[in-house]
Amino acid sequence: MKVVFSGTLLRFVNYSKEVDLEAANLHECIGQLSTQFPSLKPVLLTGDGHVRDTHQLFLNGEQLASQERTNAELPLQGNDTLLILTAIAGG
Amino acid sequence: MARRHRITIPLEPCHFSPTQFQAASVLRFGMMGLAATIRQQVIAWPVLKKEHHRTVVISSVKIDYLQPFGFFSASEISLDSGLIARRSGKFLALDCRVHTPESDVVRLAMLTRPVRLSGSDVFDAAPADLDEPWLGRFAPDERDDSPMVRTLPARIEEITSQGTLVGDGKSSFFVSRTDCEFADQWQNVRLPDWFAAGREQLILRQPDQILTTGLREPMTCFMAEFRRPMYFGDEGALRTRVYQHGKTLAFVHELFVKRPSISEADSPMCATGIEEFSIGNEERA
Repeated sequence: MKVVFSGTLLRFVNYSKEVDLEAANLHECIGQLSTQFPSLKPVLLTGDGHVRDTHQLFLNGEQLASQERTNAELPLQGNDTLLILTAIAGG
Repeated sequence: MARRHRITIPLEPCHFSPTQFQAASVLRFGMMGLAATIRQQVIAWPVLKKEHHRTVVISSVKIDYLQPFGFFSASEISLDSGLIARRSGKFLALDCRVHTPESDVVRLAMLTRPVRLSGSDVFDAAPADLDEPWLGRFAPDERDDSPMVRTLPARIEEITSQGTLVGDGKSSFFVSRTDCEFADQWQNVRLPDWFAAGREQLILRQPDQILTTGLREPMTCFMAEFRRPMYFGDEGALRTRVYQHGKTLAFVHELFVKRPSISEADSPMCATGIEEFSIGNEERA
């Protein structure tokens, strides 16, 4: 699958706009990203490991609702694209 | 009496096009006015952000050009700014007068939305009304809870329903880090430049007598609403439609961000706006 990052997060993923990885569900996907990019974890996740509300998740173009984004078992497939987007930055 | 902040700005050629103050220059003046009034009425902006995790983002702007004014009109201008808390802290409204000792030259209205930062290094934020004690720093005559009216949608509706479509075009652009502020989010002051580039490309492809009004004449009014931000590395698409509405030539812009896995038709809109020009001034010259 492919994970796509937007501008504010790019500097935390070595400026890789797209990252390819293999993950069966959302939990695995986020875990792999945190391992691959350790500085991403504190800006992307809350203390209990969920994606902060200030970041939006789009799976294959559809925004994930709150129940979906907190569902660690949300299934992912090899041809999926997950976009991680900061809704507002207060820069 | 509602507080005002006044500064004098020496003028330089980059503030101007051949016909007038560039809209982006006026917006930069507005950002200076916003920083000055936040410092005067709330607390210094960097402190508000770093220590209190609060800031504001721009929701909409309106620029009214009140009289002809070019680079050779004066050596300096005065910027007079005032900040009002609207709707119990849901918005902060900035009013700026750009003027000479003799008269007002440009008027800028900027509406901002207070947000609360998460505190992380990415400066992610969510809308949050300005509450006490910050709201208490505004004097009674610096607070206005009366209903607010969005002027841009009504103006677009008037122009597109009553005017005649005389041109349309598309252009695209890349958001560089030089287009962004320190959090890699777009600078709102860049929006007039992207609108202008779309307008100019459209005119140069079809330089007829009506459309070239948008290059020959000074703009009379600029309005924009910001829907969602763009970021460093994003690719943007601009759709511009031109309408003749009486003696007004209006360039109506819609700015979208291109996202992977999202079709062009479903691309999220980031901003919309209008640039207006008066038709027929050359006949009076």
